[in-house]
Amino acid sequence: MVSKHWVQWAGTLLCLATFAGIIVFFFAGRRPEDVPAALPAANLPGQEGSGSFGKPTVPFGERRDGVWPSPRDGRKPEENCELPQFKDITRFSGISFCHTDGSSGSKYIVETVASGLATFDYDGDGQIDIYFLNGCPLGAESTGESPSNLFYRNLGQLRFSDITPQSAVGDTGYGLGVAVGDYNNDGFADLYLSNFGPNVLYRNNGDGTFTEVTAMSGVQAADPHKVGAGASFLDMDADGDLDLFVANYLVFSYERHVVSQWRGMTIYAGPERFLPLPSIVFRNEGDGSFVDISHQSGVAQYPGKGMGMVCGDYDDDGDTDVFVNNDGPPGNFLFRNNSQGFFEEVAALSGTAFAGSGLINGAMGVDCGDFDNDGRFDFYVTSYQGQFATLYRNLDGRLFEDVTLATGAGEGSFNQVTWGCGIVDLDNDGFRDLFFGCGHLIDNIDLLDGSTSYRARPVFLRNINGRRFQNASAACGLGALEPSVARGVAFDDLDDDGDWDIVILNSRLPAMLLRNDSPKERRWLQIQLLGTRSNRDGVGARVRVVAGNCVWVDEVRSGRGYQSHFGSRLHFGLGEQSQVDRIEVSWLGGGRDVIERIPANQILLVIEGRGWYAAWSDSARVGGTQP
Amino acid sequence: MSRESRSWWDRSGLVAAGLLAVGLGYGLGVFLERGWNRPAPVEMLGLNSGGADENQRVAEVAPLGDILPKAVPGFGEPQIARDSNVKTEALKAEVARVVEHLLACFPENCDALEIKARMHDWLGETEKAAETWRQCLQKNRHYVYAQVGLANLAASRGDFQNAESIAREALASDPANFQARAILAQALLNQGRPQEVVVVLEAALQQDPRSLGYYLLGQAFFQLGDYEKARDSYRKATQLWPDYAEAYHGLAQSCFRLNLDSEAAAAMEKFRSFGKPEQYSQRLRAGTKSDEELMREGAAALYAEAGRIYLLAERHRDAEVLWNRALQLDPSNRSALQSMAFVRRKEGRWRETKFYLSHLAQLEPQNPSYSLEIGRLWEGLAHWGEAEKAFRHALTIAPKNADCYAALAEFLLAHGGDQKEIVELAQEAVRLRPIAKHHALLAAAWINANDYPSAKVSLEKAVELAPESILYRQHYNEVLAKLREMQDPAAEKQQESSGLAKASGQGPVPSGGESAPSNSSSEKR
Repeated sequence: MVSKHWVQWAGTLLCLATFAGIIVFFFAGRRPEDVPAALPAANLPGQEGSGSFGKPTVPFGERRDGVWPSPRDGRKPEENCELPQFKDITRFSGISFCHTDGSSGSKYIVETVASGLATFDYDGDGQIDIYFLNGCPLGAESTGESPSNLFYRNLGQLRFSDITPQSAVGDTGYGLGVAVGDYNNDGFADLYLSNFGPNVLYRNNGDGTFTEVTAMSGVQAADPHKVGAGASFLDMDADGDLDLFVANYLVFSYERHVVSQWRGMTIYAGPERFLPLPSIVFRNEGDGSFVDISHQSGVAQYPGKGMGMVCGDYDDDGDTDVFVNNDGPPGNFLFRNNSQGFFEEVAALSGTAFAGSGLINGAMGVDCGDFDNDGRFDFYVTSYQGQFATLYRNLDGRLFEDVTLATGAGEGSFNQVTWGCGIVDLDNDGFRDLFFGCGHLIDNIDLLDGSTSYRARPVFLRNINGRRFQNASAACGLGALEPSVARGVAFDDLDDDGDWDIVILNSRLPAMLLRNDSPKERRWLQIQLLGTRSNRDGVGARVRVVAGNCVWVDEVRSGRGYQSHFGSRLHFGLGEQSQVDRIEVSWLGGGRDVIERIPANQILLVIEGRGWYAAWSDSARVGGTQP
Repeated sequence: MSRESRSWWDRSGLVAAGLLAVGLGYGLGVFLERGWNRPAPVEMLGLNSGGADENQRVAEVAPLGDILPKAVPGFGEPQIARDSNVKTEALKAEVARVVEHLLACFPENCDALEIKARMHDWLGETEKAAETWRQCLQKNRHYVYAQVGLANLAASRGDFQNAESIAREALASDPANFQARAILAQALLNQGRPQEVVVVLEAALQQDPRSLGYYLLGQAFFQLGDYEKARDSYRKATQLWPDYAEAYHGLAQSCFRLNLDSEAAAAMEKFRSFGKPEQYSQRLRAGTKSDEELMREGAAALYAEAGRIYLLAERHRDAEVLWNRALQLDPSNRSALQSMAFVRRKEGRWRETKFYLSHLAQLEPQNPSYSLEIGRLWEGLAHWGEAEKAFRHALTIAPKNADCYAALAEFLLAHGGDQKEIVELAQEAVRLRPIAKHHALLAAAWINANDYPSAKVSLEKAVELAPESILYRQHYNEVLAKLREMQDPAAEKQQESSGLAKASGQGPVPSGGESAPSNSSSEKR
């Protein structure tokens, strides 16, 4: 009897202890780092300024924080001071965007490739805003109210507000690619959307609103069967205004819709079942209109299954060349500019058309950057499952070498479909790292192939001295993320703390905002260009930064990664360098600015021919601090 | 006979008849199952070897034909009729039943378990496949096919470190397993260790030249910046497989680096001319072949392999049922066709053997080996005209293949062909592939043409290339004796009478002599 009571008491005590443990875990044991330190508890989503379609709490054109810089106050010390830590802070950011690809079970190929996103400063307040593209119901399902693209204004401290209705950029077309550029040189960034069907151009009115000017500007590319892809603004003829290069994926119509079978199950058809399309080149006439010069430019004779694209002066001859990666045959295109807007396709000769093994990859996204600090722009191209994301090293401005295997740049990519990517210095050590998003395009792949998965985590490959990459994903917090289905990925310093943060658009899932807590002892410099004779955004201008024995180069690009846009404000990780000895800006058209002895850890605004300013600081507002 | 005794007789007769019927039935069953023909040597079929010793443990399970569609042909007239009414889901279930049957028959057999692993792999159930391969390794830790399967799986997941480790184990189990070697080389390449790839491949390819091996070696040398060796390796890969698109790409890149612009351009042009869509990911493969086709091919491959396990266990009918089913699913399954041809030939069923060989020849019109086999078949049947036709046909489709010249030369030599043509054929065989066997054949052709000095030269070469061969040395001595006899017939006659003369007659020297241990000498003989 005694023992029975003892057992009952013991059981009761055990239950109570377990319950108490749960209570302690949820209330007392929660780690402080789960809540982003930069966000006061009083401003959690759902409270002030965070509601969907709510009025922004910060007046247009003004910074919220007012004081620069304000990095890392109150953050927990990094466990590993060498590596950055990425933390998913989406739920605290006010971003509620959830992507739709319009899927209804019909398995239209268009659904597999949507969508990209853009990070850019639309209102000139120095804070980077986020524009998400969205799909919409397709075919017979396309009735009723359609979801739209969403635009989030950066309120500071990694809080965002949905301003889609008031900014009037909520296109309801099927969005695939996006590029940002000030095509009319009025000082405000405009938006170009590459859709399934007609494309869209939004002109920024400078007052927080946009006006759709597609028809009057002539950049509609109105073929209803065209599945768009990446797009880029570029000044191909260096005449001071931005032209437009638009890659296309393939021809799709509901009548020609097909699906495939695999192991007895219905899956999305591959691109080989559809006709390819060439890219389109629009020349800016300088009066707000564009002219289609695809044939004169030589580009129209190269049909392909274009996906991502990026512009860059890979041969260092002072004009802007174009890389378009294709999803399968005929391989990637590298269009070399003859300085006047005529392009010669040289991918096979240069070694960038195929992987080094000779395989034609199903290429997805592409970025351009100098990973080994040799002063030449390299290309990094993501790809389909069973292929490596490929790093092409620029040998001499003419030839490239696939150094994926030699450098480890393909780690983590082989059994995944890889998408948005960047050659970006995420830890400010002075060497540009690689980052890419993953996620299969066959939504039932988990039932068909155990070697891969539909949902996957992004991959961060840390650059070690420009020679080798190390998969540091798990150590950087990416292993703790919920697996998702990435498409577009954008990199920008969203909290102005001197490192790149990351935004990932996930197919059929909520977007993801990753705050970067990079090692604080490392230095950085960000440079925003403002053209006066050349295009206002400085697109195509090359910047060379020299500090001690270190030299970095970069170029302002519009449209990159997987059908996305990011990084208009150039970011240089400086490692331990506390000062930059020299900055050289080579503007398109021949202009050149040189600035010397610049302290690290600041954002510079360099105005063509007029020197530099400490951007968005109090002094910048009153006219700058030109040395 | 009384009513009772008749009744007893009737009853006894019924019992006896019953017993007799049972006995006959059993005997027939035994005859059909075991006595109908003899099993083929397993090694000739290329069966997995790891579980061979366990094949003796055969459980009593119903014939396989009971669980397969009724349309499966068993014995009788050969036929290959595609079963067009196969649905994928039904096929998956059918394969599962066959594998279940196989494991019921051979519960302890690694080969049978490995077929199950392959089935899971075929269905994309990679975890189950891995688990089954691991079970194989529990039974036999050196079972190379399971090691290769696991290594391959690790590689497909991008886990190249693990792939490398398992492939090394596989190579330790079977150093001659090229698949394991290729996986190891690829895994090392993918980890950026080209120097080790050279170690793994270079010597092995000397013994066992493979196009894939040379292609991987080319990649390794290219990564090491040794463009000349890269070029040479890519060249060898294209020589072994003239349609190797990626090797042409590597060749072009290597030549480009070596400033051999015209060769680079030619190789790149060749690469572009292929446009091989099947090389480009599963999505494209699915685009060029229907899923149903791919599923059929996969099932047929499993059946072809499983059939060999049944054959090894002397369940010939089950084996043939599976091979025939494989051919119904995929009439182009070479493995099933080869197995059927082999078994029929062992049974002496020439007409059917020829049927399968001819089918194989149609599937691979550029492969002369089937025509050569058909020629030998006709030759065995004393159909000289048909045999010669087949040998000549082989020569037509592979005019650069030394074996074709040698085979025709041998045939003409044996059946009184034109002396001059035989010499020319043998000379071409030697030119294309200067091995001892071909030099010996040429010697025979010279002897046939009564040109003993030339025969002596050829045999000298044969002996030089194969010093361990007793036969070549013997023939060489005979030719020397013949030459001496021609120079001094009397002395030769005397020598002959003293018993030191040649051991065989003066007819043509048989070609393609067998090799023998090298400690031979004329004294010993």
